[in-house]
Amino acid sequence: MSATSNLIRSAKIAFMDDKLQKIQSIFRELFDDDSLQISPDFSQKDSVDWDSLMTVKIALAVESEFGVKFLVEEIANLKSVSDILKKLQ
Amino acid sequence: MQGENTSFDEIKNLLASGDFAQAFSLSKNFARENIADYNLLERLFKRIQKSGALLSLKPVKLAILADSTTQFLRPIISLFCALRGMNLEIYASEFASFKRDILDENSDLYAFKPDAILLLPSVRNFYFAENFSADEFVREYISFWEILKARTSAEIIHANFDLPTFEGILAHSSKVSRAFALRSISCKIFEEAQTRGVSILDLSLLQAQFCGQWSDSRLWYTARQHPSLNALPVVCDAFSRILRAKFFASKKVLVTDLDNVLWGGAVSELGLNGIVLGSPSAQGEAYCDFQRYLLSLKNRGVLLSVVSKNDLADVEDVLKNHSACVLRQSDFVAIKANWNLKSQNILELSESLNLNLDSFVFIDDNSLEIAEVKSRLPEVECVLMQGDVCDFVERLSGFDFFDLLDVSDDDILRTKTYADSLLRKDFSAKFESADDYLKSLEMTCEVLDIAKNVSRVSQLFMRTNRFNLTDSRLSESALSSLNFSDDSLFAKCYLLSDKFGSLGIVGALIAKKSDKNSAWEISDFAMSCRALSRNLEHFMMLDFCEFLKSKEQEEFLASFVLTEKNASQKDFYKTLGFEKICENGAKEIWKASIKNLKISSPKILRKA
Repeated sequence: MSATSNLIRSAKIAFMDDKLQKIQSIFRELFDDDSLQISPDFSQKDSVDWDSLMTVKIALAVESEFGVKFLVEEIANLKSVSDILKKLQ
Repeated sequence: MQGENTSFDEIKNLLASGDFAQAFSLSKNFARENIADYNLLERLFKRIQKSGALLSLKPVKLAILADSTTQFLRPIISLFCALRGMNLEIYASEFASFKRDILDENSDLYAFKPDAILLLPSVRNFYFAENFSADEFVREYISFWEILKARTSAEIIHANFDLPTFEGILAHSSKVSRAFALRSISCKIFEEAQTRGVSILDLSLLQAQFCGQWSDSRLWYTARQHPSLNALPVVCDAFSRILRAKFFASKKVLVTDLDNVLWGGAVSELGLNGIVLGSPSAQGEAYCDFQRYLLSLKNRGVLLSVVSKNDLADVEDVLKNHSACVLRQSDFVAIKANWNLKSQNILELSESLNLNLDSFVFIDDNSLEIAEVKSRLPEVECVLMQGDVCDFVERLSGFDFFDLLDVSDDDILRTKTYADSLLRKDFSAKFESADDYLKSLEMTCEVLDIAKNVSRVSQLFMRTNRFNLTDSRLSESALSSLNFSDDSLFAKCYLLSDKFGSLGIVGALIAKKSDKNSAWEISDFAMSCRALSRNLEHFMMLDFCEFLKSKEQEEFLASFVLTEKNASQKDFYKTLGFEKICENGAKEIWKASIKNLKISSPKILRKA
């Protein structure tokens, strides 16, 4: 039982890592910074370039990468990488 | 170059190494290939900006007056303008306050002194009301245009409304709908803009041509951006073409090959009745339409010319006798059907027409011919017309070579005027001295006010390179803003005729007196290439001297700005007996007194 749940857990982590990787390359392109390192905590406060316009660009790029669609209020509340990850769950 | 996939990294490297010319050439293809990728284009612009490549471009101050966000628009509009040779400095009115900006004469808009103004009202902000009247609605725009024209010398570009696709197809047929109202507004705007020297950025057409998602409601509600980011670059591209046509000269001559360009197959092998041209062949109809497109270029003032490896008799047979041939012999300014190198033929054309090679475009279906011309005459723009003839019109019109905003009477007659001038050349060969020849031409010149010929004179300054002594690029608005009633302004243009016909208005001279005690100074002096070697420039100078004498002025100044293109005229003032009194970089000031001028009287009769 616990072996299975561990397996699921590590699969989930690997899955998250893969997503995080993809989000990171989106951010690197949009922020035009090839050395940018992001974590789920990375938020609007961590970059001066992340203004409301950037939020829209991020949302559109995430949509085309992952095939999801944000609602208007989700875009308005999109403030960190973890907000994106939540949407992708 | 066409069809090659350019990579972003390649461009980045070129920019970093400072090879801007090559970087721009690749970037043009890159932008065309990735026109729906907003983020990529934005990154491209950032790279270009960082590289310093913008600094060598023509600076243009653009004011954007919009009632929605301009944040997304700015980098992309700057990118496309940069790729067309312009470095934009942008002023954007505060969000939705553009009307106040226009009306308040102390607003930042006027302090900015724009060269061009883009009026960009968004269809998203247009609401239909019961008492709607298109006339009344457009009247407000007209008053904006007139105010802007009075307070600035900027070119005005107005974006018409695209249509609200988000309302469903049936909305368009009901008279009490937003869509119907928008269409009537558009029609009205087109009509009014025509007569008022305002250019239209036709969003409605761009929308119709766009394949993909034009409208994105979420983007509008979250960021006040319309159209979608995928569609935005197309709008910017179109805008940059309008601006380019405003500020740069367009190409003047299209040199075309014949076999497999104007018709299918080789006429020397297949004969008049064997070539593919006209119905019922699908290909044949497409060749006809391509010929129609070239004819429309000719009617807008582009000179068409043939350079083909063929026997002249075969070529003339088709142009004269093929029932489906749209272009006839008289549509071409010259036909060179022979077996010489194509570059040699083009060079001869450039000499006989007196036009610089960089105003030539050459099209051919043979990549070897293209390569030959490209390598020997790098100034000539070459386009390979290979593949399906159905795509030819789109391929050629996709380039901005022949973009021209207004068509003047002069444009319509241009082919005939140049063909006449080639006749004159044959005629001149019969004379022993240049003077005899000039005398026999029986030239007359009519001196006209620029005030009444603003459109043609602006074109003259825009298009003329060789004899444009201060490299003036005076737009219509810039000319209109001159105070013609002021007696410290001399602004004349010159219409030349001879026994072969009229050459049209081929010269313009503007001189000013900055204040009461200062000397008169020639600030702008241009003469069309087709009037070269006729001593018209001397006629114009003497005309100005007559004017000065009437003002009891003996001494005057003339400025000269040296460019690559007008270098042949660098001793112009010296030869006439002027003295150089000041030199600052490329700009020189020359001084003359009328009695010391060395001008023999030109063989031109002044027409009252």
